[in-house]
Amino acid sequence: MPMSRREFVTASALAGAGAAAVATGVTLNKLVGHPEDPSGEATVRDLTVLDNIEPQAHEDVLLRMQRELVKAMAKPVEQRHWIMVIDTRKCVGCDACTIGCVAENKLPPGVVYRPVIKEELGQFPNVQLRFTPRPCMQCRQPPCVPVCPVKATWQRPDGIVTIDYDKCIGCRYCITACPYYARTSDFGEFYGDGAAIGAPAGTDRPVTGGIQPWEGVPNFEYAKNWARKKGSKKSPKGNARKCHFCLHRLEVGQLPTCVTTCIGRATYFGDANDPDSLAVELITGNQAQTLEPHLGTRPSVYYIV
Amino acid sequence: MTVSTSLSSYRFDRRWDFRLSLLAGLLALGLGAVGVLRVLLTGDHGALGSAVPWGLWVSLYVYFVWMEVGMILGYYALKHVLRVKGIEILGPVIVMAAICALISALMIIAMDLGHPFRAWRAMVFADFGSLMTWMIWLHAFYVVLLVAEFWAYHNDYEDLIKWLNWVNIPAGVALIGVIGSLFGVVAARPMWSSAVLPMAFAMSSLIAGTGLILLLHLLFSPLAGRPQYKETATELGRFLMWAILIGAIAALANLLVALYPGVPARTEGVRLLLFGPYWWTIWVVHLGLGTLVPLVLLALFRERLVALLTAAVLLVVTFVTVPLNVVIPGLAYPTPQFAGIAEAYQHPRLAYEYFPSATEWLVVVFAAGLGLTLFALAYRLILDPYYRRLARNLEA
Repeated sequence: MPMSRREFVTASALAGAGAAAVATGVTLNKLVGHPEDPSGEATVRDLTVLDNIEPQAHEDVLLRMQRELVKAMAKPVEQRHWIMVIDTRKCVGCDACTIGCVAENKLPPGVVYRPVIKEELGQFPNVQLRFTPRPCMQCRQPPCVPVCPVKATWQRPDGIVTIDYDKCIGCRYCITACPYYARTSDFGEFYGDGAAIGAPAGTDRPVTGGIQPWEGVPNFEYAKNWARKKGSKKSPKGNARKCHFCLHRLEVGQLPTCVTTCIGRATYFGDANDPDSLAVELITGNQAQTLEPHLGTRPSVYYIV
Repeated sequence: MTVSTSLSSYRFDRRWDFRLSLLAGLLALGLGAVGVLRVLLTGDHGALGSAVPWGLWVSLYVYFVWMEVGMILGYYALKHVLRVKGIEILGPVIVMAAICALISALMIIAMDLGHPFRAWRAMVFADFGSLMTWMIWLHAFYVVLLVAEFWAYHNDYEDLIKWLNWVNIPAGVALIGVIGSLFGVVAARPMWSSAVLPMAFAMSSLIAGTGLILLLHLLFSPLAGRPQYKETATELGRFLMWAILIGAIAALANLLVALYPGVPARTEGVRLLLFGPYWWTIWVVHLGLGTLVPLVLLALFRERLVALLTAAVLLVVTFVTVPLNVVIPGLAYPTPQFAGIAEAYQHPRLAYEYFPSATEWLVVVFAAGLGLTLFALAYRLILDPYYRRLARNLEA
C-alpha cells in the first residue's frame, strides 16, 4: 500500500531531523577542542638545565639540542612544534635507541615504540644495508586521532600525539589506522612470565623464575605513575601505546632517550618554530624526507638520506 | 497481525527441538565460559597482537551483525517488495532471532576490548568524528528498535509495526554502512581502503540474512505441515539463489578489479586471501560449500525441502569465512615501505602470522551458545505461546 501524503511528510521530517542531529554531532565534535590540553603561560617552563655550562666550540650536539630544548620550553606550548630528524647516513642499526626507549618507558613484551627496520638491498657484491628507526611520526594530520571513539588520543598544541591511558578502551582501531605501524597494544605480558622456576644457581637464568621485581617498577609516561602488576588489569595494560617523544622528559628539560642514547649521534630533536635550531638547520641543509609522503599525514619525523 | 487461517491447526510439536537446542546451547555456554573467564580475569586476548590487532572476534561480530540486520532487511524486502506469501507470520521469529544475534554480537565485541568495562565511555564521552562511535550508537538504537518491534508484534500493534518497519530500514542500512565504512576509511590498510566496502557489506548482509530467513522458515515456521509452508520455502529458495548469484558476481568483479593493477601495495592483501596459507577457507569452504553447492541445490532441487535445508545451513555456517577473509588478510601484511617491520623487533604479538587461539575459539562458542540458548528459551516461553494464542483466536 503506497504511503499517504501525511506519512510521507512525517517520514521526511524524521529523516531530516536524523540528518540534522548527525550533522550537529559531527560539527560540534570538530569545533570543540580537547578540554585537557593546557595552553598559555601555564605551560611555560623556566628550566635551569645547563645554566652553569657555557657553550663551547665543538661541543657535543646533545648539549646544543638541550639548550634549544630549554629555550623552546620557555615558550607557551602552542608556540612550540617538536620535530625529530634521523640521519640514516649515520645510523648503524645498533638498536640502542630501541632498547633505551624500552628501558625508559618500561615497555613490556610485545610493545615497542621505536624499532629499527633493517633492509638488505642489492645482490652480492653490491650489497647495501639500510637502517630506518621508526618512532611515532607525530603526524600533523594524524589518521589515528579521528578514529578513537572515546577521545582518548589527541594531538597536543606542540604536535605530540598523546594517549590518555585512563580513557582508552582498548578497541585497537587506532592501531589499524596508523600507516606507520607506530602503535602497539599492551596485552599485559611480562618478560619473566612462564620462566623456568628453580633453574640451577650459577646459570644466567633467574633462580626463582617468574616475573622479576624490576618488571613492576612504574614508568612515568605523561608525567604519571604507571605500574604494571600481575593479576591487575589496570592501565597501561589493555591500552594502545606509542612513542610520545618522551614528553615526561621534555617537561624537565631532558631530551628524548633515543636522542640521548644514540651512539652515532644520528637522531636529532628540536623545535620546528625555532629557525636557529639544529633540527631545522639539518632539514633545510640536507636531503630530508618523510615516510609515506603521498598519504599527506605530514609527519614531524624527517629522514636524511 | 493479519495471519492466514492456515495457522488455525497450529500445534506445538517442537518439544525435542527445544530440549536439544537448549542442551546444545547450555553445553556451549559451559564450555565457552572457560574462555570468557580467561579473558575477563586475566585479560587473555589469545593470539591477537599489534600486527594483527583484529581477528576472530571482530570477524564474528561482523558476521552476527550481518545476520541480524540482513534478516530484518531481507524480511522487509520479502514482505513488502517481493510480497512472498507466508513470510509475514515469521516476523516475530525473525525479530527474536535478530535480537539473539545482536546479543551475541555485542558480547563478542565486548570481549575484544582491552578494557571492556570502560565501554560506557563511548556513550557518555562519545567522539562523533569516529565511525566506531556511530557504530556503537546505531547499534544501541537498533537494540531499542528490535525490542520495540518484537513487543509490537507480541501485542499486535499493527500501526506501530508499520512505523517501526519504516524506521528500521534506514537504521539497519546505516548500521551496515557504518560498519563497512569503519574498515573502508582506513587508508593505512590498502585492502580495506575502498568506497565499495560499505556496499559489499550491505550485499553480504542481505545474502546471509536471506539464507537465515530460509533456515528459520524451515525450522520454526508455524505453517509447518501446511501446503503454504513448502510454497514459501521454495519461493525463498528461489530468491536466495538469485541473491547468491548476484553476490558471487559482485565479489568476482571486486576481486578482479583489486588484482588487475598488479601493484603490490594494492594486491598483497587480496593475494594473501586467495593464495595465502588459509586459501582453503575461500576456495573450499566459501566458494565450494558456501556458494556452488547451495547454488546447485537451489537451482536443481528447490522442490525438495531437504535440499533447501542443506543449502540454507551450508550458506549460513560457511558465511563466517567471509568476514574472516576481509578482516584478517587486510591486516596480515605490512605495506612495502615497512616490509622489514616484523623482523625489526620480534615478538609473537608483533608477528604477521595469525591463527585464533583456543581462548578465542571458546569465546566464540560461548557467543553462539548464548544466542542459541536465548532463542530456544524465547521460542519456548514467548513465541510458542504467542502462536498458540493466535491460533486459538482464529479458531474462535
